[in-house]
Amino acid sequence: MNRKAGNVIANILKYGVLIIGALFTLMPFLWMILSAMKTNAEIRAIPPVFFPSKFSLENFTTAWKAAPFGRYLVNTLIVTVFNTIGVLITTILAAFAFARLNFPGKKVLLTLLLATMMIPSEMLLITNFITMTKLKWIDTYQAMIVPWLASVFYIYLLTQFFAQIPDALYLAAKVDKCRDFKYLIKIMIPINKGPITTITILNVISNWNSFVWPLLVTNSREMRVLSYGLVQFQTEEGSAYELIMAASCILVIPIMIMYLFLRKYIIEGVTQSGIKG
Amino acid sequence: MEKKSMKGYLYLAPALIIILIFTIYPLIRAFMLSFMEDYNLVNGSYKGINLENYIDIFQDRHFIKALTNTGIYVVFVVPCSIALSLIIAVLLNSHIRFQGVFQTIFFLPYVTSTIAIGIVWGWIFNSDYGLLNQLLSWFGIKSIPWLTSKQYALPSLIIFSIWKSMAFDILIFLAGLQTISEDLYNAARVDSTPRWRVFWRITVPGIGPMISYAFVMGMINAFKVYNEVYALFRGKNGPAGSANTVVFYIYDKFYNQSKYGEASAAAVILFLIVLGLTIIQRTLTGKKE
Amino acid sequence: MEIRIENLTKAYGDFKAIDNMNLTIADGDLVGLLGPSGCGKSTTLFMLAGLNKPTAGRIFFGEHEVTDIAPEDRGIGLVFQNYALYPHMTVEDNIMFPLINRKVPKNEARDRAYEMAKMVQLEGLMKRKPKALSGGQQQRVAIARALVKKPEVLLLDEPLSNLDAKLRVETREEIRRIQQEVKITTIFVTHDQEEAMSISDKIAVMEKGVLQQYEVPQKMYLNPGNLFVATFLGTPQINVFDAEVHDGKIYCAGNMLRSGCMVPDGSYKGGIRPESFNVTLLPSAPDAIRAEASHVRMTGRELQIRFNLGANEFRLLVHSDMQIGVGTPFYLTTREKQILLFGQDGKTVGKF
Repeated sequence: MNRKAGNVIANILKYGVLIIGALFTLMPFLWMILSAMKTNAEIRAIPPVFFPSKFSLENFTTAWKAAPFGRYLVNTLIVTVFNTIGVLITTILAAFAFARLNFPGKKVLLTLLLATMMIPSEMLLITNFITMTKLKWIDTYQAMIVPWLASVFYIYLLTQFFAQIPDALYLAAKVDKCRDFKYLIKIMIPINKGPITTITILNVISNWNSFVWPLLVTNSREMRVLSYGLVQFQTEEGSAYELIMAASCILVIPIMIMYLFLRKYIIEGVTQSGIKG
Repeated sequence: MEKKSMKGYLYLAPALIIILIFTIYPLIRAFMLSFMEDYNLVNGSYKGINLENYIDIFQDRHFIKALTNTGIYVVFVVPCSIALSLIIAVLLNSHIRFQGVFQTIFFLPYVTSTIAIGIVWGWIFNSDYGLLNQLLSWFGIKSIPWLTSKQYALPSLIIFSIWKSMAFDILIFLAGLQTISEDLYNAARVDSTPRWRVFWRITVPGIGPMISYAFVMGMINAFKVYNEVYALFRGKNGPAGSANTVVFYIYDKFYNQSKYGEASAAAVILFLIVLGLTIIQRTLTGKKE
Repeated sequence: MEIRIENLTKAYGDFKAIDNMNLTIADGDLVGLLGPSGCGKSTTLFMLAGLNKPTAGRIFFGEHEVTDIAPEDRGIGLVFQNYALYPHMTVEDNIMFPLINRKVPKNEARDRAYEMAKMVQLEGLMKRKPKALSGGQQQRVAIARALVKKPEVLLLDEPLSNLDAKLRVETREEIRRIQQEVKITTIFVTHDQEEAMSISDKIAVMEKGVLQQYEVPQKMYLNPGNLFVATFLGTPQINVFDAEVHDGKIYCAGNMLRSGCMVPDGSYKGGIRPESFNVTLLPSAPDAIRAEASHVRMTGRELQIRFNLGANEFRLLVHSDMQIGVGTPFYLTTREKQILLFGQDGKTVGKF
């Protein structure tokens, strides 16, 4: 009897802590969405009101018109799509070389590449910025795409998966007259759809959210990406928080939806980084 | 295995070229720039090769402020995030309902744009209309000027950062917990081990490597904080530089002041700190294995 | 296609995985490459496939030397121990894969794949993925994939080792049937001597990289070329004992086993199979040897009895209706032509 009561209390505590934690985590998201639907009067109410009097999407249309978010979105998509395609190509080719092919200096090269993961990217921005200036790439798409076309972390991640494919499959394909490149395309890639999807999604997210580099290498309004556009919008709108929150939603909600559908892949990829470290 | 051939390099070429140009070269270049006094980007001239840049930044109170801020930030953010995350992860791992739902919620901040959600936090911290002061007023606490006073700027940044970094910590702790065999817990139960001892003798050692990893990653990330500051303080580093960080200092030096040498010197310091922390982490986990 | 191996050697540093092997396999034969693990049998198979390069020696398929020819151009079908089916492709796509790579038009490739599937009895499973198949079915897909390009030689690496005991017997008959139907020269690697003997036309026994004997199963069992082959074939193992020959008589620990043998006097290793004894409860002949059972194990079909002659322990098999328990005395003689004598070098001296 006593034990049972103890269990009930333990359960209440357990779920209580988790629910409070979840609310703490969700609070900014809820506040963002709720604020984005309020009127300016509701935003400036003291004490603050929690729920808007009516759920209207008016702020979204106002914000969308006030700044060229359509253009920002297109820019973000262009950068994301081209960078991701490029990253997949470099990653898959390099991972195949490390996992399957044998070449002189392989171990040394892999160790060196892994060591570069320790370099904070902030250290590289100065010179990369200078390089962009010299190439006259400032304010272009390629400036936002090209420097980030290779990722040692993704290469390492995919190498591990490629290395797990049994040798026999490679030998079988060889007997079946399937050469290296074809083997990569026809066998390795389809078998490793999961990890490749993970890399794709992680890269899409990091492109979508990237801020500092686009801030450095773009000047004109036409070349801005969403995150930079949002910051500029905040500066321009000052304290019209209902509009700023609506604009923040434009940046946050698409990734949130993608995350809800594909979280398995995302969580897997990030966990790998933690465990392999 | 195959015979050695140079074909591997054909496959590696695209990645290697990018890494050489945009990682290896800038790394070397940053070291070189850090020793060049008054480097001029336009004509590539400099006054001399010396330690002037390093001397300058260590005499610069903004840099010292950035370092001490980072120190304070580390002391609060890293242990708080790890402790809270550990509690949540252990609860999540204890056969609860809706585990997937909870996990999805807790990881959400990780995938969210720091800039966008930082702006939202800026709104929450707003001293007049913000949610936080409203909540505090229920407990009789008077309105706090979170983002506008020197005193509260850093605490605001710390609260936001704990919120943000818990997502990653919870995820890797949960992954670590799931690798601990259920048999260990059953064995402890058969031996009627008290819960707290189970936690300290089985759970914590079981995810020891994850905790040390979270610790070091937390410290490294603390030195790299930038987007959070930018979003909270609208592109500034807090009232009177009260929330300055190392990376903020670097960007300010090279982007706004065009002092490439000093920026590079600060970047080299950042690199050495990160390198040191990584080596400590590697040896720690290396010993455990 | 006749296969000829000449002076084949594969060395890894000082270690010789294959040492100067010579072997000719007749066209259309099913040959078992048999030996304990690490004996070099898989290495030999992979050299035949072209996936391993020999250090020295030559391999001929028919009139053509293939030593330096790439695996895909040798006209071989290869079945791997774990089948190596492409997990993301359906059975149909797996079987068609070698043809598509050889630029066979898709329609023709599909027809040939179905034809092959029919022969290995896989019709109806063509749209499944390998994961949804049983081990035996996966095995048949692998064989179909190996045969669909109409190779001249079929190579199988431990084809039955991943199947459970019952399936193993069925599948080996299946392999035999398919091989007979296609009439293809086939070599398979195994460490299971029963498996090798039951379906092979000829067996090649290998040990420590050296080919020990190449012979028809029955002949090899009855006339092993040396002590290793004698002990490797047969369960329970052949009894090996210290034999003395004196005046044409073979003795074991003072007991005369056979007389009238034309062998020089001296010490030999003797060998006699467990099924080669005549056992009676009462003396059947004047020179019958008296022994006592030290262990008796009933296996159903037969009794397995252990007894000692001096320091030599023997096993023998009798019909299970014999009333022998531990300690029961009995009398035994040996069947004609069933005692093997081996010289000190292990080579067979004669059969008596």
